[in-house]
Amino acid sequence: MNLNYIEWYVVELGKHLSSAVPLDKQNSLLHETKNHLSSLVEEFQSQGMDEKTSQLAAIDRFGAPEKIAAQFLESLNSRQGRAFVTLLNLALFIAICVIVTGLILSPNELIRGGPIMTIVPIAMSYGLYTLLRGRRPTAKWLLLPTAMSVVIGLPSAYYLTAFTSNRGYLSHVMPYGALRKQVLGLRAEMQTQDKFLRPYMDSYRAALKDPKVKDGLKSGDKFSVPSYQHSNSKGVYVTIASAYKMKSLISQDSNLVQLQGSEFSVGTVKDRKPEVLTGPMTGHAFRQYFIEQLDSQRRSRIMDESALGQLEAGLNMSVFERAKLFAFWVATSTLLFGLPAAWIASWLAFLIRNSLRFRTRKIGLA
Amino acid sequence: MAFKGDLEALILAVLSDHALHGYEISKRIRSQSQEVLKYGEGQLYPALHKLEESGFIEAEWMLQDGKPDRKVYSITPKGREELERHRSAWAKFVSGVGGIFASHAVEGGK
Repeated sequence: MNLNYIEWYVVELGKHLSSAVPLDKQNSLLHETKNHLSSLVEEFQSQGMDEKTSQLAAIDRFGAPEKIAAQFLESLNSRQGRAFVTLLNLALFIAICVIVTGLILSPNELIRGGPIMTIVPIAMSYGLYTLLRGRRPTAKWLLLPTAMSVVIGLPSAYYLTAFTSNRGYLSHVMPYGALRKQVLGLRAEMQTQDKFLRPYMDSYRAALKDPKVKDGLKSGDKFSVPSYQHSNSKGVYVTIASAYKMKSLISQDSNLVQLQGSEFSVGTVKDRKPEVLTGPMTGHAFRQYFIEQLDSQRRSRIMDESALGQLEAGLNMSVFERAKLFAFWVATSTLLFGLPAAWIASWLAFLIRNSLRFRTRKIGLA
Repeated sequence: MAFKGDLEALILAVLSDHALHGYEISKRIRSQSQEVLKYGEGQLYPALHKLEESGFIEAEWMLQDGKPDRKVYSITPKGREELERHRSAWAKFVSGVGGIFASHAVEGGK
């Protein structure tokens, strides 16, 4: 039997269901619908109708596909309290908005970087489309969010990362001028570190060989803590990692540690209210502190070198190479982040739309 | 005649004797109501889905030789209780409305 109209009807019903109904339920309903319509066609044909007329009569008796789909969606929601579902959807929607906003405003450039620039326009366009049209956008709609990610994402990536990051992230989409500035800045920073930190690092290495540090300190022992200077807007301080853990800074002059019983104390903090820092400190703790400092310095140097390498690579890249990388960036971001985001956004939009539709119907507005 | 709210009760009633597939349920509602109850037959499936989700009916796919598989529905004990509740509510409604009509028929005849 040629089921042209029936096939068309099943496809239409599927279109109205496609975004909000789980696949197994969708398949089941469509299969049953086709069976039901086929049986009606046979019934009408046995009454003397021709094939085409009987198909149309079967569809007429079955009802409009959008109406059936709407009722089916309602039956899906009926399992749970609708007010609860509405609240849950709104809470989810708000939570996602807060998370996305937080990601964009995050001080960490790795978090707020490129993928977010793709996720936001794609999720927004898919969500809005679904909310307004009541169906998930077709493949051609991918063009719009992709275009939006290029139009919105590229300038955003420029302004949010180029002028705040010196880690080399997204260096291929940054302006040459900003990139050059960052390369020079990072090189200068590394030179400064070499000049000022290296002596302290050397003294830490030497301290690790000190028998007092190695074997532990006794009460009343005096021990000179090698430390490096750290400046901020309040003046010049000497920092040590263990003091930082105690949420304070130690005075520039207080690199002499006096053990008192099982505790240690250091002098007052310069340019701030006098205070004495105390806390348990043993030779083992000093040793640990020096090791941590050396490790931290080594890790920091590796990261700086890697960032410098990326920045320099971006600077040396031709416009053509940059364009290629940018296209790759947009494509991978779209596939890896944009499409899942689009799916989640349209799913949420569907839930919200269904909840709102139910509410308007219930109060008699529609 | 619109009976959206009662469609679920009618389905339970039809299923109380036999396990049936969607088209057969629809056909029985039509024939047993002497074609009085007419509705978009597609409405049956959201109602069936709702009843299944509520645990009033259960469904099973039946394989058929040379024909498409059919999803056959049967009533559960919980569904029978629900049907009894509907029957009792309907009996009260009919009795109430019947009482009013009877009373006015008597008055009109006087």
